[in-house]
Amino acid sequence: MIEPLLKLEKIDVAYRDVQVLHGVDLEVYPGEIVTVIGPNGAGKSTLLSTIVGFQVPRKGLISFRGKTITNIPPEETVKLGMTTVPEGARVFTDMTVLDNLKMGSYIKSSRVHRKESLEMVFNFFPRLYERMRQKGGTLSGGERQMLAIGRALMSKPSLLLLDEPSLGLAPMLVRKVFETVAAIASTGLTVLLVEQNVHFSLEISKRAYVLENGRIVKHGFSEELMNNDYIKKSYLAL
Amino acid sequence: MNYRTDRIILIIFLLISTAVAFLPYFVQSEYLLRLITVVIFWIGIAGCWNMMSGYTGYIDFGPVVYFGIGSYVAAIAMTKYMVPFFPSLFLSGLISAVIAFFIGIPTLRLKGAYFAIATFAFAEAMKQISLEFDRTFKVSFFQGSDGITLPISGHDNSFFFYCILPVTFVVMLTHYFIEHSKFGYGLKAINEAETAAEISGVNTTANKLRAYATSAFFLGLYGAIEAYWITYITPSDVFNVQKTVQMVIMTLLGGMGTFLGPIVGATFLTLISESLGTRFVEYYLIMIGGIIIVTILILPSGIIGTLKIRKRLRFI
Repeated sequence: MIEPLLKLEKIDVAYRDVQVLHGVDLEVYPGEIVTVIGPNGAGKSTLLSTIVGFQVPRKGLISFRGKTITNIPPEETVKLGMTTVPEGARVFTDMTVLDNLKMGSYIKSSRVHRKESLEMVFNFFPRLYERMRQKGGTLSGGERQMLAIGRALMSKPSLLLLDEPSLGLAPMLVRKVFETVAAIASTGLTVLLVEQNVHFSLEISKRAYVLENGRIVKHGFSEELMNNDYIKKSYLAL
Repeated sequence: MNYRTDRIILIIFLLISTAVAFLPYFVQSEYLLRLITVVIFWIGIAGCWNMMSGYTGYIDFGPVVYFGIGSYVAAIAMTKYMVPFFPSLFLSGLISAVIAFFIGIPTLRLKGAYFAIATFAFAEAMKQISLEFDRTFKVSFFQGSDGITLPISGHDNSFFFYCILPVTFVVMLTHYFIEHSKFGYGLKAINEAETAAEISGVNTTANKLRAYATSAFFLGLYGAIEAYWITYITPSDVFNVQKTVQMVIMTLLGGMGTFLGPIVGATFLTLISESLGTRFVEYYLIMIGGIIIVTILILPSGIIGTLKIRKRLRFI
C-alpha cells in the first residue's frame, strides 16, 4: 500500500461563526492528478488555503509526506515541497517576468536548482521566455496564469496546488492551461486541482472529489464520475 | 536587469560621497556647510522611511518616534549617567531598534490605514509619556516639558558634518543592499502581493521586522546626533509629527522604493525651502505647498520614480 502524499482527516474550517468546511477527508497519492470540483461558495478555495497554511482548521489533521502540517504557515510549507498557484494568478506586477520566476525560487533548497528550473519553465511556457524582461503587470490574463504556474514550479515542489487556473480565461486558453497542467504532471509532479470547469478537470485527472456546501458528497475515479448521472446532470449539463 | 547601469550609479554615488567628505576643507562659509549638513541629514532620515515604507508599502506614520527615542536616550545617558557622546550614540540606535522590534511584532500584522494609525498613535503616546512621566512618578528622568539641556559640545559644524555623513552613507548603502539582495526582493514582493510572497517562501513578518528595526536603528542615531547638535530637547520638538510628514513628503517627491528617491527628494525640498524661506519669509510655506502639489500632479510616482518608469530603468 502506497502512503498518500497529502492526507486530510476530518477537517473543519470556520471564519468566525461561519463554518465553511465540514469534516473533509481527502487523500492525494504520489504522481496523480486529483481534482476537487464544486459550485461557487462550496469552500474549494478555503480548502486550498487551509492546506497551504493560510487558515488553521478548527478540527482535524493535515499531513504531508507523513508529517503533520496542520499549524504550519505558508512560508514553511513551501520548504516542505508544496506550493500553490493562487486564484487569479497573483503575479508581482512591478517585477519583470524573470524576477517573478526568481521569486518562486526564494527558498534556499530551490535556489540551487534555479537554472534547471528556469529551463524547465521556459520549456513549458516559451511565451514567458519571449517576455522575460517585461513587467508582470503588462502580461495578459493567460500569460499571468502561466507566470503564476511557472513561479510555483520554480520552488521545485513535489505537490502543486492549483486554484481555478481557468478562471477568467478565453475558452481556447482554458484548454491550453489544462493541457500544460497535464504535461507538467506527466513529469512526475503530483497535482491537486480545484476547479469549476468540471469537464476539463475530470478529463485530465485520475480521481476527483465533489465538494458541496463544505462537504465531500462524492469521490472516485474521474472516468466513473464523468459517467455518473448526478455529475452529468448537475455539472456537465448533459 | 541592467546590472551595468547599477554598477555605474554605485560608482558615481561612491565618488560623490568621497568628494562630499572633503567639503569642510574647501567650504569657507559656515552657513553653507551647515546647509549641506542639513541636506545630508534629511537625505538619511528620508532614506530611513524609504527603506521600510518605500519598499514594503507599509506606510509608517510614526517614524519620528525612533528619532525622539534616540534623542532622549542620548540626552539621558549623557546628562544622568555621564556617558560620553559616541557610546550614547550607539546606545540610542540600539535601544530604538530594540523598541522597534517589540512594537513591530503586533503592529506589522496590521495593514494599510490601520498600520499607519497604529504607528502614529505610538509616536503620540511616546510624546505624552515623556511629557508626563516625571510628574506622575515623582522622578526626574525625562524632565517633561522643561526638556533636557545636553552638555555643550564645543564642537564646530564640521564635527557634526562628519557625524552625519557616515550615517547617511551607510543608510544609502543599505538601500543598495536592499535593491540587490534576496531580502530586498522579499520586501518588494510584500509590497506587490503579500500572499504570493508568502507562498513563495518569504517569511513576511520577519522581513518586515528586519526592515522596521533597521530603519529605527538609524533614526535613533540621527535623533542622538541632533540632540547633541542642538543641545536642548523637549518632547514636542523631537517627537514632532512634522518630522514624519517631512520624511514622507521628501520620499514621495523623490520616489518611493527607489535608491535615488530620498537623495533627490530631500535635496530638492531642503534647498527649495531654504532659498524661498530666506527670500519670502511670509509666503514661503504656501509656495512650497504649491510646488509639492504641482510636482506630484506632473510626476505621480515622484521625480526618480517617474523617470524610472518612463526610461524603463531597473535600479536608481
